[in-house]
Amino acid sequence: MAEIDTRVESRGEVQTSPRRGLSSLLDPPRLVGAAALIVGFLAWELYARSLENNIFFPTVGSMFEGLVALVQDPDFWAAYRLTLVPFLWGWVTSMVAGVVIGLIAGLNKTVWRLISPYVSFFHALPVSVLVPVMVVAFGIGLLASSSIVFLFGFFEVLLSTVVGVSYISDDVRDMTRSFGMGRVRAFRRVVLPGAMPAIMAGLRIGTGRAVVGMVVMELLLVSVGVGRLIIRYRALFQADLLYALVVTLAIFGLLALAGMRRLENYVLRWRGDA
Amino acid sequence: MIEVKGVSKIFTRDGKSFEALRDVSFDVDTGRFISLIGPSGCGKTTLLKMMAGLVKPTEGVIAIEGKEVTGSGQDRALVFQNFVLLPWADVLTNAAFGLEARGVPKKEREEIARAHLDRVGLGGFEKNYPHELSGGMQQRVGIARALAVDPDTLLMDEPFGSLDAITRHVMQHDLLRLWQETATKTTVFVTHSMEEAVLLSDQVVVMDTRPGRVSQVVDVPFPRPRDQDLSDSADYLEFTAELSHKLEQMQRMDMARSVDDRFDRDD
Repeated sequence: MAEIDTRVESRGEVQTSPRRGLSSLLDPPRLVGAAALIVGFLAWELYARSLENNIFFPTVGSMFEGLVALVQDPDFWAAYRLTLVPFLWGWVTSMVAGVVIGLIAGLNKTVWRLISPYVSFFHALPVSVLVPVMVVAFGIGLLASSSIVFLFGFFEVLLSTVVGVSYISDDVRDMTRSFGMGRVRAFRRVVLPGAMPAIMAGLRIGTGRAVVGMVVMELLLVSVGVGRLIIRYRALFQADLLYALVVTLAIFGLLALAGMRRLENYVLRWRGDA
Repeated sequence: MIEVKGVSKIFTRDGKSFEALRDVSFDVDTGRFISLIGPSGCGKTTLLKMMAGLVKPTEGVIAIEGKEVTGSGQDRALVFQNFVLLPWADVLTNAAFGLEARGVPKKEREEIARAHLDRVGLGGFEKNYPHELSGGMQQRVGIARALAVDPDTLLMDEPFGSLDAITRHVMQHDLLRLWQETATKTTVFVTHSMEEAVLLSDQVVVMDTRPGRVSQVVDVPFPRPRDQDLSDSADYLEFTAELSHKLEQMQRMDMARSVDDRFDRDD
């Protein structure tokens, strides 16, 4: 996860922070990353060209052409709109519920003991296997699809928040108590900011998981959105469009993570550049 | 006056009990500076935390100005060994934390905190964050935070224990000056260093281990105000050397006993 994160970070910043200008694009680590990408594309292109027919494996060039075609296709945007509705529902609710329940469980040992068997169970379980369960329980509508996204993100956020609260040191608790700070004020001024680094990390990782949940939902449920396009392109052997579509999902994930990273840096700006 | 009367403390963890303090009694007169000193595990920090109301004695009573300590109180303030500043808050907010805990309005508490930051030599650093400061400067914030609430009793838990020798020396003399300027605050100071204890205190409570107990209460004969001249004087060096020697012997005894304990257990 850490490895993926750092890559996402540097690429995310390239995409989202033009304010730093060209010079930051020329940083040695970025140059190495860019070079690695180019080498990868080259290998892909050479392999694709060596094939006698590339119906199943498009060249890089045709993939990019597919990408251009996609973004000009209203069907593509309509599909994303349909997919984003359950994603947004599931994502927002999982983040909010994860933080709120996490804070309660972090502050109250009894609550934590009550929920921890369920949390361990769901956190250890590959969430995809719950898709059929969701379908049986909720059908194939918005509730089922947003529930899947929710389940992917929720436990990550919950666990991070609980850990964040419990990692506030005994010294800080003693200090707060010794000055006689009341519980409400202490929550606002000590517990919440103290847990914030872990909460923000949980939100970022949880967002990544929610994006995975979105794709799983699209592939495993009867989809009207991006999943429908994937199935169509596959059925019609339009490999260039299929690959382009996969690339758009990757871009979506990167943008979501880069946005969360920015939010994290903003909320935790007291950390400085250290 | 702080009265420590027959205080014992037994910690129990995983079914094993550990006697941290046994029947500790002594008094601290109001306005005096005393040090608690002793080998690791003698319970000096536990005793300090009891005075702060963070730890309850198993037996016995601690009373301050005739009132039994049952919890934290506005009359006391703690200074911690590892500073315990809030990393997300700037220096001014940290120094004002104790006042904020007591519900003092923002403008007023920041004014008071600013004045105390000036006193400890941190004027101009109000907007910095703790991680931008050296250890010595962080502890100055810790001291300003404690003094800002104007406590009757100042409790210091090895406040210079994690600083390098030079910083430590500077901090000791600055605290000495600061305390003599204020002069009315009863102070209990936990330390490992006899030089530090003698330089700063009116009285040194020497403690021993297994179980934690008071071994000796020594009055420090040097008049105030004290300064660098004292710590350079032959009298001071001799007095300190003698006590240090005693402390060292205690430490050796303690080590010997812990070796014995290990053999006993192996048998």
